[in-house]
Amino acid sequence: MQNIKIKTGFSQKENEEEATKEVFEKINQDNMKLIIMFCHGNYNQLKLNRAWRALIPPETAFIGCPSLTMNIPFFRVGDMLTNQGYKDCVSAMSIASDKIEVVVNLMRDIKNNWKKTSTQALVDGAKTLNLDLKNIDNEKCFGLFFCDTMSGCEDDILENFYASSNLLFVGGGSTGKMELSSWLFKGKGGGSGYIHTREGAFTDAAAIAIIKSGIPFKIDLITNFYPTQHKFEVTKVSETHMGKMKMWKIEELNGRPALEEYTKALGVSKWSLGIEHLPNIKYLLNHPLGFMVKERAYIRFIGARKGKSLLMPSKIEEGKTLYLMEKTDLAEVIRQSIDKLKNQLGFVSGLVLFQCGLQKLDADSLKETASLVKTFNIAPLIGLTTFREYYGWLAFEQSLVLLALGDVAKK
Amino acid sequence: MLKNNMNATDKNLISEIKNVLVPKLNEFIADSVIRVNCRRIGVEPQDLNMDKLPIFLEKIEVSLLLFLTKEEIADIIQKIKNLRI
Repeated sequence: MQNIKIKTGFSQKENEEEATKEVFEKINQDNMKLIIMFCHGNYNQLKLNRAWRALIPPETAFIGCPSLTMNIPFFRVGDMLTNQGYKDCVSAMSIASDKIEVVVNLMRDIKNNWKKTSTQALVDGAKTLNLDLKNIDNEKCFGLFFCDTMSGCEDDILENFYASSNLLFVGGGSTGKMELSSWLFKGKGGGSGYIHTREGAFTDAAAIAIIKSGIPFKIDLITNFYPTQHKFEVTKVSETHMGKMKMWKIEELNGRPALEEYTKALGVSKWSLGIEHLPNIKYLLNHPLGFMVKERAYIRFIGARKGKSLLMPSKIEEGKTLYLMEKTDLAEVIRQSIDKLKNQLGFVSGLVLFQCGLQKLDADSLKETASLVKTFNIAPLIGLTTFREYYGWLAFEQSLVLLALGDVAKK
Repeated sequence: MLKNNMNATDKNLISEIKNVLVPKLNEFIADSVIRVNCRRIGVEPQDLNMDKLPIFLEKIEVSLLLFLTKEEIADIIQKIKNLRI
């Protein structure tokens, strides 16, 4: 007998109501505890949210967000990962189980009030589920976290969650549709990272789903990089903005202008990195900075150059040491990680994946997406194309973060 | 004088813990593990002392599970417990 039933579905209909209706018909089942919804950034997020709210049963928790959606020369991302491949669609997963309890809490005005709202969301969630925040059993409880990446405060929120509790999160950044024209000509480039809950769809927002689970689960982070011999100490950093997006400006590496140190290590001119408002993403994604813990790399992506500095979308502090990284075989690394996960859980009843748009773009250019889909296709799944992936209490880039649910009855 | 000595000891403790963690976790994760777990027990890293070490060690075990095996974590915890400040 199954202890958990997971259904997934997607729709490529352009009309928000029709797409939602089609997806809901595919995932609707008795005893739904949670619906997770991902969608392409081209959909009208407010209309889509209204359509979902009209259909979801009152006892079912609901959380979702749009993918990183960009369609500029040499950089087209935004598709959702489904069991039938990467699709330009609305997709959703319903989880039905007597062994699962879920609460979703929304946080608004996070740019100005991230500490207050995130603490409140956590405390309220714990109260609803009758959890002692400081003594949560990490084998029986986890969190999902979605955040508007334009807020630039997800690192602070994640750390605040963990400092205030024992709860580990997985999730991804909601970026939505990024317009090239505004990015290039008005310098206001940036997405609309809507966050969907029962309360509506909002920007400058985040949401958590706290899940108390009698079903075994695993979280994981997968990257495909290793360090070169080029090592940099971050010696001068300041905060800045690239369009609407908060960035960390690395002014110096090893006590020298950061752009000079980075391009010298790569043996290229600064023009290989593109220009400030039109960075050469395809080049930069092959040469991020990062570090290793055992066999796994943790990545800090260089988003662009600005003057003699480098712009990084993730928080970085002075004094930290990072390596220039090089790629390994993405498909093989993912295959090994999924195999390991299957062995650990015994049976996988569902997968929720948060894949960096840069990793997806790389897979596209290497024509590896079909192979990835085949590897992931071990259970009902949904996947979001993200900008920044959340693992535990930390945020990284160029990663795949996943939640795998098992089933006690089938282990 | 006594206060100064205590501060020096505390400073040594956090620096010695970092010396144990960095080779296994890299400075980035090690610093984050120390910072977030000190916040969890309500102290600033520089104020961590031997009295609070047992609760600190209890807290970091879960954090380290994201990066290391249970055996590796047990080894780290033992090394920190063996520190002579």
